[in-house]
Amino acid sequence: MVLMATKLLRYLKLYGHLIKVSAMMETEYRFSFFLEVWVEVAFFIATIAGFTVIFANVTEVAGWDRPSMLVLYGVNMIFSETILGIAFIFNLRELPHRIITGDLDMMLVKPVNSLFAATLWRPYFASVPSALAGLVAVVIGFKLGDMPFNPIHLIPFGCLFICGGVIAYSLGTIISSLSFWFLNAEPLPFLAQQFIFMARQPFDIYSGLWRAVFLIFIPTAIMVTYPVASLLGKFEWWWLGLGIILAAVFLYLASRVWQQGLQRYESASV
Amino acid sequence: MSKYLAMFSLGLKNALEYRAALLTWILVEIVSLTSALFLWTGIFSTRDVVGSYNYKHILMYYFFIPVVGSITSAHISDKLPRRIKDGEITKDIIKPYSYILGFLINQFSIKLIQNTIKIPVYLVVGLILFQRFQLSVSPPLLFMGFAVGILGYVLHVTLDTALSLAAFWFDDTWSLSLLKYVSLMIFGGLTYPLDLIPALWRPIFAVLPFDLIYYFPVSLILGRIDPPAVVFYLIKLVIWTSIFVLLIRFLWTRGVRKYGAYGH
Repeated sequence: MVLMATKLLRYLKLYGHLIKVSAMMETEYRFSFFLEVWVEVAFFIATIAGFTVIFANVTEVAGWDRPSMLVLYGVNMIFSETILGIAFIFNLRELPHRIITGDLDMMLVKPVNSLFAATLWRPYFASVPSALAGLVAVVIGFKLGDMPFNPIHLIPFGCLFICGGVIAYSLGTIISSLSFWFLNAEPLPFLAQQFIFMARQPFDIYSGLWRAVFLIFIPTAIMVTYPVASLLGKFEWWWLGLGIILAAVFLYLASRVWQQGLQRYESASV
Repeated sequence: MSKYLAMFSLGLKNALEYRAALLTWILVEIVSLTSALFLWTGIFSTRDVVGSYNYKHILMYYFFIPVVGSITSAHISDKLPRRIKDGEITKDIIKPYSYILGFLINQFSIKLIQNTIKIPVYLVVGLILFQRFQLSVSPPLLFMGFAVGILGYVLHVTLDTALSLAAFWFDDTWSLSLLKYVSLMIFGGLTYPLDLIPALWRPIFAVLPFDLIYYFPVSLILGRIDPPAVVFYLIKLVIWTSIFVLLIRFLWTRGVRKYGAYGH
C-alpha cells in the first residue's frame, strides 16, 4: 500500500514536470499559442451555434431545458478539452504513426510505465484556457436558469468527473491500441474521440437497449450527463458506485490491450 | 497531358495503399452521423415538427450530409500549406507543368478511390435507414443534388487552394484549415440545417459561400429549395468560384515570387 502510494506520488511529481515543460514549449511562440487557443474556442463557438439553433426552435431536449443544456455543453467542453489535452493531442493521436515508424521505441526505453510514457507524456497546455470557455458557459447557464449553486455538489461532481475521465482515457487507449493490429489505420484515435464527443448529448435522449450501451459499454452517461446532473443537485449514489466500477474495469482492459499490443510490436529497424 | 495522367495514376495508387485508414475515417463519419441522429430522435420524441422539418426529413438531412460530403469535401489545406512551408514544392515549380493543377489532379484521383470504397458503405447504411424509417427520395432530385455537389466540390477546391496559398506569407496555416472547418460547421449546414437558423442571421449566411458545399446540395435532394432559390444559389456559386480562381492566380504569382527555400 505504501509502495503504491510512493509510486503514485512519483508519477504525479513527474507529470507536474511534464506539464511545466509542455507549457514552456507551447508558450515559446506566443502567437502560435494564442492561435491554438482560438481554434479550440472556435470549435466551442460552433457547438454553441448548434445549441442556439436547436433552442431557437424547441424549449427542451429530452427534459433538459436551455439553461441546463448550456451547463451540460459547458461541462462537456471542460471535460473534452481536459481529456484531449491530457491524452489525445500529442499522445494517442501520434500512437499509430509511432507504431508504423518505430518511434514508439523512444517511449518504451524510458524508465517509467510504457502506457504512461506513450499516452500521457506530453500534455497539451492550450487546452487549459480553452476549458475556461466551458466554465464561462457553465456560469452563464446557472445564471440564465436562476439555478442555485451549492458548493457541496462539487464533491459528487468531481468524483464522477474523474471516473468519466478515466473511462474516456481508457476507451481512447483501447481503440488507439488497435493500431498494433491494424497498422495503417491512423485515424483510430479520431474514432475514439468521436465516442467521447457523443458525451455532449444528454443521456436521456437514449431509449431501450441504447441506454444500456451508453451506460455500460460506451459510458457517456458517466462522462458528462451524471456529473452535470450532480452539479444541478440531482445526484444518485448508484452513479458513483457504477462510475468507480466502470473506471476500474476500463482501466484494466486498457492495460491488458496495451500489453497485448506491445507483444505484437516489432519496431521499424531503421 | 500525359504528365497530368501520370499524376492521376500515382494518386490512385497512393490512395489504394491506405484502405485501412479510409475505412476508419468512414467509421468516424458513421459515428458522428449516429450521434446527430440520436440527438434528433430525442428531440422528436416529444414533438412532430421542428421548424419546417419532420422526423423523416431530419433523418434524411443528416444521412445525406456525409453522402454529399463524399463529393464536395476537399482536404487541400491539410496538405498544400505544409508542402509550401517545408520547401517541398521547390523541385516542382521549376518543372514544365502547373504545380497547382498537378496537385489538384492528384487529390482528385485520391478522392475517386476513396469514393469507390465509401459509396458501397453509404449505400448499405442508406438502405437500412430508408427501410427502417420508410424514407424516400426523388431520383431526379437525387441526380440534380449530386450534379450540384460536383459544382460544390469545384468551389470547395478553389476556396481551399486559395486558403492554402496563404502559406507563402503566414507560418501558422494549419489554423486556417481548422477555421475553414469551423466555418463549414456554422455556416455550411454541417451541424444543423440552415433553414432552422434565426431570421436575424440569414443575411450573413446568404452572402457567404459555405452553404453551397453541404446545405445547398442536400436541400436540393430533399426537395426543400424552390426554383428561384436554386437559380440564386447557382449564381452565387459561379460568382464565388470565379473569385477564388482569380485569388489563386493572384496569390500563386505573388507567392512564387516571394518564395524562398533553404537547402533545396
